[in-house]
Amino acid sequence: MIGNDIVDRAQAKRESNWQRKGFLDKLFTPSEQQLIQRARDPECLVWTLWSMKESAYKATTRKTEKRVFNPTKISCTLEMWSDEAVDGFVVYEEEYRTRSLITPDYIASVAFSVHTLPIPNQVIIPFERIDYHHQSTQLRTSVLEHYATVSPVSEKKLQVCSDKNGSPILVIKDPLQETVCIPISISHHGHYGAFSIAHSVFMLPD
Amino acid sequence: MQTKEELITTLKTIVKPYVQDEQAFEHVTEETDFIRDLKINSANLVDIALDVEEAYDIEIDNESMEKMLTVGAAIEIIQEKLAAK
Repeated sequence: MIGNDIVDRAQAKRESNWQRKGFLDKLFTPSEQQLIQRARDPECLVWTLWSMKESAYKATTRKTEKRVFNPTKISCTLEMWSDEAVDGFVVYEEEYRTRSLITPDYIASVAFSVHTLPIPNQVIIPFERIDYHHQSTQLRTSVLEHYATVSPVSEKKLQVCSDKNGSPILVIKDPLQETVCIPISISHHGHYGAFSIAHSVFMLPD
Repeated sequence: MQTKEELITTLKTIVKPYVQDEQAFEHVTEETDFIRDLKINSANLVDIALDVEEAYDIEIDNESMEKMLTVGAAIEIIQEKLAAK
């Protein structure tokens, strides 16, 4: 399964005070809090870990449909980190690998099943407007355009829909073939949007 | 103890700064979902829990926070915690 998340760093700074009393306790496990305390840039790690959790949460919820808000039940470990990228593992009911990209403007993570290869791509879209509905439409258009350039399928046959649980899917409709669905994950925050397309496909049941 | 209507009013004041969909905020009911309807950023759900703790001098443990996804669920948790005080 797949999940992705993006944090607009300027927006996060405006929206949340991570140094607020009780904030870290409600979001992070004791070992994650230790990592944050020791980090050279604690704020950056706060949002990196948060986007890792969010992406794994989305991947699990796709399957279980169980919506709960308990971030300390999602636990992250870091495998490799630099100023530009972090690779890690996140456990939330199942284990995922995550890859996070860190820039001065945003932090973006994608979570995928541990054996997935190659690592799913995460496409970042900067927005001029912060209007939610505008961004939502824009992102769906970008998914179609992107898939049409990386696959032999023409854009006319593609559509972004929701599956029965409300999770986004990319649907390939071809009159000569069976309809194929690909799980995708869409995320937006502040001036940035992001999406990831899974490698796996499934047929639409009749 | 505050009536349910009063609790909703207080909760609306707490939630307002985090709301991204102002239109949905005008029509808040008990069924209103913080993330799906009001488009509140999930990290801000923690702020809502912390603000509720401060406003009512109660503790929202993780098991309660887990369910705090809608206005109705939040009200229920506040009532429960106030009753246990």
